[in-house]
Amino acid sequence: MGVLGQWITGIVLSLPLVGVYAIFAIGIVLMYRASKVLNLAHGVMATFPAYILYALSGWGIPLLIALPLAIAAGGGLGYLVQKLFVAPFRSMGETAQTVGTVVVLGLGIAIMATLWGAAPLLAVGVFPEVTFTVGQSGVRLGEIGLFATMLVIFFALQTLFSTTDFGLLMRGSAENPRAASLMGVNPELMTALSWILGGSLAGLAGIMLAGVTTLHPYSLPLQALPGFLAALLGGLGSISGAVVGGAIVGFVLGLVPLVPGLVQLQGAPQLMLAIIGMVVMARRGQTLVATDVRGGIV
Amino acid sequence: MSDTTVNANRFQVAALALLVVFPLIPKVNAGLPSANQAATYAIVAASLVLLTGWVGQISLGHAALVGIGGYATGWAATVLGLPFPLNLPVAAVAAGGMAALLGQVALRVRGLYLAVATLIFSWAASEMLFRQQWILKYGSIPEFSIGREGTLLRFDFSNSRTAYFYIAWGIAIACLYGLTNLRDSKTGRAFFAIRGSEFAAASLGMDVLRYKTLAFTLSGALAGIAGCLIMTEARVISPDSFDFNKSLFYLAIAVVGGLASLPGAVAASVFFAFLGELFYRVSFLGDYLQLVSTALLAMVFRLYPGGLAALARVGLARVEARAAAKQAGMVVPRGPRGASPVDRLKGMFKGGTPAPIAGAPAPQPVAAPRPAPASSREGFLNLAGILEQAPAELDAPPVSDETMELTEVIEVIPRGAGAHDEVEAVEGEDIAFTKALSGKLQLPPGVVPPPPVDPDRRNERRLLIAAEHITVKFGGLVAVNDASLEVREGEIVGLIGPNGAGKTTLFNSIAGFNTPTTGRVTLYGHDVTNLPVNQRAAMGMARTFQRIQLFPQLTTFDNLLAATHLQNPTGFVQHMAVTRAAFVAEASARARVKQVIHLLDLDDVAYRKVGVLPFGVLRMVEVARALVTGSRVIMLDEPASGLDERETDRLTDVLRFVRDLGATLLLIEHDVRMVTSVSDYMYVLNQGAMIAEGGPAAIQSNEDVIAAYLGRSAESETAGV
Repeated sequence: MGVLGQWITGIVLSLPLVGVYAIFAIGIVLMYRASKVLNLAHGVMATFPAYILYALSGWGIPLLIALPLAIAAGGGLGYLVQKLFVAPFRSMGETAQTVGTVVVLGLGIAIMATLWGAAPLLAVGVFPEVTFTVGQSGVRLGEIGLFATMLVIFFALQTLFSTTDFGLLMRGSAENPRAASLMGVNPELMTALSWILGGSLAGLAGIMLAGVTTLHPYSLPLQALPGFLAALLGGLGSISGAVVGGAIVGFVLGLVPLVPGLVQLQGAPQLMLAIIGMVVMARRGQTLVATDVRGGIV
Repeated sequence: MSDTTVNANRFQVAALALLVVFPLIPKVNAGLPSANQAATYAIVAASLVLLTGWVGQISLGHAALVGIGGYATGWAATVLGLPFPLNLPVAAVAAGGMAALLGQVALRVRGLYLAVATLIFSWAASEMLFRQQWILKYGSIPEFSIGREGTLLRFDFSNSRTAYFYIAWGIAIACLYGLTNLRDSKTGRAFFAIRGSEFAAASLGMDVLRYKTLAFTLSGALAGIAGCLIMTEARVISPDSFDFNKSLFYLAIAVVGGLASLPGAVAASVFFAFLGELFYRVSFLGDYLQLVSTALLAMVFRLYPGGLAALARVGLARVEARAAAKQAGMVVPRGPRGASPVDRLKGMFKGGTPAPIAGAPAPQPVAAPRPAPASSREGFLNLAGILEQAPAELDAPPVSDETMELTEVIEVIPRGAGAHDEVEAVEGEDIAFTKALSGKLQLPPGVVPPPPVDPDRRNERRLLIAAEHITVKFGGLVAVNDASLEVREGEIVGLIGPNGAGKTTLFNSIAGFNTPTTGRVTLYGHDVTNLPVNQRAAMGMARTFQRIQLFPQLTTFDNLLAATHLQNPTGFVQHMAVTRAAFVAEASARARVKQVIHLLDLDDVAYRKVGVLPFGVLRMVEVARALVTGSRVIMLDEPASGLDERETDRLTDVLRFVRDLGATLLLIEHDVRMVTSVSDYMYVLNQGAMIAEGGPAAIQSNEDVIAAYLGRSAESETAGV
């Protein structure tokens, strides 16, 4: 088992991270495109469905029924957040809308901590408990499943947006709601659908992530943070950008600890990501300075 | 002066009195730790009001900045041996410096990138920074005391909660006082302007990045001060107190307070500290503190986005209405006590006699303010000199001292009252504001209009703007191709061309909103090709926008006041402390605005929110705003677009009037009738290239121009105006 083998193992072990952060980033991008708001409540949309699945399974409801219900809870949460905390504040600007999602984040964490307690719980696994051996460590089927699910979602959404009329309507109404409404599209509905879709995806990723880690009201919502970074790295504009961003974040978190000398340094991957994020933002800032004024004013 | 201020001041006095006696009340004072906590909450919440409420940026990592303040205090105490009051600046500088660093990166971009950057920062801080041994070891400070044992002056921090209470609240009040002053100053207006429109702010000479970074740095420094206070009281801190959830908690306080209101932030801080104390004492409630406080936050945000501040305002208004009904006709006299410097200024310029400044000589009549240094520079008119001659009487405002209050992001929106009411208001007002469109424009005595322009002898005039061989490419598209134009002193220069000719692109190159691919732009003889908008503005260039960029929540007066930015040489430290220089500069700025309003006959609309004014009047306000900057060069982007014939005629008169005052104008325009009647010299752009220039008469008969506009020539694709 040489150094190379160790790195290959590292890459395989990073794939689940890539999967989960890419799914988060896709959802964040969908919502951002629709409402121009960064959904800071994404972590709650991921964690709440995981708790719902936990509760439903506790009542003896089979996974085949409980799983769709739990994912739907994520979508429903997305819908409610958009309806109650984002849309009403459109006239006040994006600051108020973003604060609205922060309010949901705080409230959601508090509700989950009250209902299910602040101690970590063992979540229900979506995939059977099978472990493969890669190098010297094991990788669980659930972890590989996360990555595979992300690929499926990515290709499904790409197909939806690039080949179907419905996808075109969604993109169009996100880009220019007024023009879309003149053509008979209901932009409100399209925005709501984007949030429902984003919320469901967050729920799906959250459920699978909880299945391979633990269910915790404080730490699981924070897992969305790398998702924001992934969305930002991808430019907040496209699904494929979100996946690329997810890959960067996932591999940095998974592989940086393998770099000799960094193993001892606690938080090295986070620091690395923070630096990457800042550099990307700084570069993007410079390119945006000289825009045509007409293009910039809404 | 209205009763609102009187009542608000009474509340302030009552709150202060309560603060002073609180530790002396038996039994209640057992809650001192919570009361001390409230002071630090208030400082952090106020720092978020500055950042989020005023500038519109969101920080999700404020707790981490508080933490940096705390650890910096520990470092200063153990390594440098600095005791409490001395390590306060260290904490402020450390947290402020971190914020400045983050801001430099994240605030370059328009939008809420700071939210993401601070989120990452918060994450990196709790996962990495606060887990490093070299930081953790500064997590405690040695016990220390001031004064000799056994004397009254003896002060032991760990045992003297009461003394700490006064110190913490004293510092909190000092911070709040500074912020209050900042809010109603040049700096505060720059913050509001940036939140309203970064383009407009830059064109008024405001350095957008600098002000956004300043706001975040100040905000971070305040968080650092709070961190120092926390460390000083607790003597031991742990990284868990500075995690992401704590950042959310701080933001929650600011939101419940009203997000743009400092008194609201203080009230919410006290409220949350009280809630904490209550839930701590009543044991069965203990587990529900987080739930109750976040549910409260959600409710306030949903139902009453203006927060406690808005509630208080509504309550006060109700009390006043009742009082007014009781003693109709009685006027509550306003004493000098409790009048803030800003209140005094407001009084001065809103018709009333200014409240006396304690210990200051009798207020000088402000009719003849000293011209600010900036106006003597070459790019600026001696506006003060011109305006000195103008009468400065302005009627008292119909609305009272609410002007600055209206700048808040989250306003009370009466539920159910929607756009319908607003439209009605606009239609109703339209008739009332005709004066703004028909009043007499009279040059102040002593102002001599420049001699008429002779198109053949314009080279004798001083060259103010030169665009030399400008080419602008967007990807493969050549929008402007080797175009040159000149604007000389005392001229009105019109740039016309059919749609898509590249007028706006060329205009933006001159104004600084894009950088030409090749070519050179000079302003007053200096190369400005690569200078940002605000630096050109600082040289003496103002502009108006095709899509009007006024701040709709502000009155005409306050919109124009924002344009005095470049004429005001004072800085934010002076604004916070209200130094004499800052006071005089503010007085001079207000006098100037008043005079310009009078000069352009905008008196009727001076104290109206511009959001309710008709479009034609808004154009005049934008021209007035350009005039207030004092810039010698004023650029107008399609000023007649959206105006009817009567309004266009008025605009023509106003532009000539502004030129006669000494300004030089460059406008791009669609309305050929208007532009030929107002211009002294014209340039015609077609398909990116300059096809003609000359006096209006020459242009009107130019074959190429007619062909470009009417499409007579076979190869021309553009048709019609």
